[in-house]
Amino acid sequence: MNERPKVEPGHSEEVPDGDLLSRIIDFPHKFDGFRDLIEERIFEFQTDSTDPEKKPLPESVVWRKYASTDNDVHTIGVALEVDRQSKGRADYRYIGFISAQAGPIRSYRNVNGHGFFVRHDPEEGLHHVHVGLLPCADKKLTRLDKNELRTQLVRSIFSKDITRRPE
Amino acid sequence: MSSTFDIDVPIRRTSDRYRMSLSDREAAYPVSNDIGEIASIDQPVSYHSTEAIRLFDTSIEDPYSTWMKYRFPFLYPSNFYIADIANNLSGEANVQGAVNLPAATYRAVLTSYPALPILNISNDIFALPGITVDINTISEIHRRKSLIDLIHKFVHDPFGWSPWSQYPLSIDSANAAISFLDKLPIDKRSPKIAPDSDGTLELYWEDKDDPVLLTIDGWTLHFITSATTVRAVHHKPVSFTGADLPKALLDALPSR
Repeated sequence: MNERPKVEPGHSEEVPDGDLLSRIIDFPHKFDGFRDLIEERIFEFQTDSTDPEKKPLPESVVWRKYASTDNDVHTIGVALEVDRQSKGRADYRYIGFISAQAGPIRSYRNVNGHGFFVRHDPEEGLHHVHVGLLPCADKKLTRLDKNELRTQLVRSIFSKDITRRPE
Repeated sequence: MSSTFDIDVPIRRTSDRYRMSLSDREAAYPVSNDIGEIASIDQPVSYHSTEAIRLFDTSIEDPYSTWMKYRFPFLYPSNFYIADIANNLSGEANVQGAVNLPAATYRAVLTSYPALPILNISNDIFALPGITVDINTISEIHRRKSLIDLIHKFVHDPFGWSPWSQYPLSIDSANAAISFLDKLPIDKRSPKIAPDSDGTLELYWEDKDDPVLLTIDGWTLHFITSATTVRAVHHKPVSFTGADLPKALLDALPSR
């Protein structure tokens, strides 16, 4: 993986439409027997409970410009696993990642006009990019919109096959 | 004797028990969980239903146990697999073993079973349109049982795809989801499921043209038909009583 240069606060870059983004995936052992029954809702967009407007939080992805090989992404995934396990998520298990270009993420709109933003957020690492929900200006983003958008991300925009963590 | 029959068989249920969850039914009326032998058959399986019913048509002491253990002899090239289809649509098959043809052996095995009290139906039993119980149906029954096990697990073991949070499924959403699966017609595909951050359960039916997304929030259903497509319809929330499923949802769910 490229060594992380020091990032000045506020320094972020535009993520070109053609650049690849990867999403780290974990799956706990205790659900292994049910793997085929569990919907791959890999992006949560959980609501920020501290926000009076209850805005959904963005999700993190890895910008492949700064983690160009699969092994670079695996290194980030394993580091996240170590971090999560040390902070009480004993069953956290990094299993691999899925990928998509930034352009299709930005360009999708559901029937109500809601979509996604893609924004470089390097304070958690130069590779760190946020994908978040981008509500249409004149329509409220509902629970169904959120569900539909995150389903679209996993089912149609990101790769269907997981690039698995090496044994 | 032909090896295939395609016959409409009336499925009989006791209405009170039909409303029980699968886990309650299993606790009250334990049945065997062995369907491995049937599931291993790699050819279509059909059943010799008319003759089986006639052979079983004598009196028995416990109508419910017969209702629960509605017996179909499965035909398979040179052997009959005698199986109990317990709990009909939502139970399990208990393979009794294979018997060789000729028919004399087959009849001897069949007649050793309790009878089906077709002529002694009490008022709380009613007939539904028949289905053909084939190997895919048994797989679907088994899958639904696993889904219900998973729903119970989600209540006690929080799950989440985010590295930062896991969510428990609420009891109300779990009970509603189990009732939903119990009411889902057997010819419809069962969904994939995942809990969401607010105790709800998300259900997804993948389909090339018209996927369906359903969120079960307690006893309220929120759903999108043709989800993620330009034809997507976001339906208004519907209260679910544990009885009938909303028609708009039912019509949109993909068949097996």
